[in-house]
Amino acid sequence: MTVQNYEGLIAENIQFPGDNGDLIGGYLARPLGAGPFPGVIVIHEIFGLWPDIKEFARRFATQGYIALAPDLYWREGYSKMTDPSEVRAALQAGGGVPDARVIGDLAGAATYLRSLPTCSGKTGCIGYCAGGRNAMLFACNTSSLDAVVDCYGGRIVTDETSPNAPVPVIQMVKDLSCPLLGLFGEEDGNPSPEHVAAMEEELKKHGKTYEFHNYDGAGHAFFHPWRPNYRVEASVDGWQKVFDFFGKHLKVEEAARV
Amino acid sequence: MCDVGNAKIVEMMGSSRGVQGWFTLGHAQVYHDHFVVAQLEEGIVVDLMGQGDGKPQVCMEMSYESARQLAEALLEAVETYAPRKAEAAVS
Repeated sequence: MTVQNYEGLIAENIQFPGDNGDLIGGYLARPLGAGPFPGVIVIHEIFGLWPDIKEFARRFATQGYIALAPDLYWREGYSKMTDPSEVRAALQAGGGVPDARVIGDLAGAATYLRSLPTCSGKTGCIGYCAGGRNAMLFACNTSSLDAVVDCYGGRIVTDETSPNAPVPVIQMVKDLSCPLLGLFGEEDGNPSPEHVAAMEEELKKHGKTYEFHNYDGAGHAFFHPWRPNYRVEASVDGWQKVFDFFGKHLKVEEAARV
Repeated sequence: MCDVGNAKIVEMMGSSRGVQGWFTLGHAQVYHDHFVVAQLEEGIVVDLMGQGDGKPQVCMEMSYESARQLAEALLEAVETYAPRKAEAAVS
């Protein structure tokens, strides 16, 4: 995890065009050097764009990536709420967002990243928890990604549909457009080891490039150090695998520019 | 978990006291989810909502055992006292 020519970073709230051209909010963390740097979309978990995901975005910036964490609940105004428990209550009251809009917002994020003058044009995507599902959802509905990371995304392997999610993501795997890294906990209930195995089977069936790691003694959300779910061994190894994976697929031109 | 719209809604008649004082209860949401504060991975959440903007005025994150004991205590209290009040009203 070394960074050459690192000169500092800037992190700030921004707005960019999302689905339907609507301006939506996001948190952009970028190195201050001349670049070119790959872009990474960092997708929040179900509770929204809170400081934990912003911290993850800054971590990518320290490693030489331009990281954009979009606020997928911008239109609902959840970011104006004062506590994640309010977002959770609103979601449980039926306040989910449509998959089609999520795809449009993430496409807007990818376009925005590539438009930045210091961006190399290579673009990856990573999501945590529900964001892991949204990362997969996007990667199966775009040709604009060079790599995707699913960190324990639930509800990918399901038969259930809803007006917001009319097609289960597992049925979209045949259209996965880029290499996939999947990081999962053996003790997770959603995705369970059976869900992960079903996903792997689908990836193999369609000849997709993927790399899965299942951590013993870890459950859901093991990357989050402020929660009891945190598992230091899985988290440390997982971060390394993420940077190795993105380094391989997004920084292929680095040697030429250093 | 990592899911939406699964809450059981209970219409409430009563009052509760939150950080901004007493309020008239509108409804309660009961569901299973990840916790955002309690140092447990998951459990039962109860949101007590007022009659205004739909935001929870009171939020409880409980272990399964705490939720079970609370539910049993509520049922016991209801079964002990509610019939007496009903009988008293009739007589």
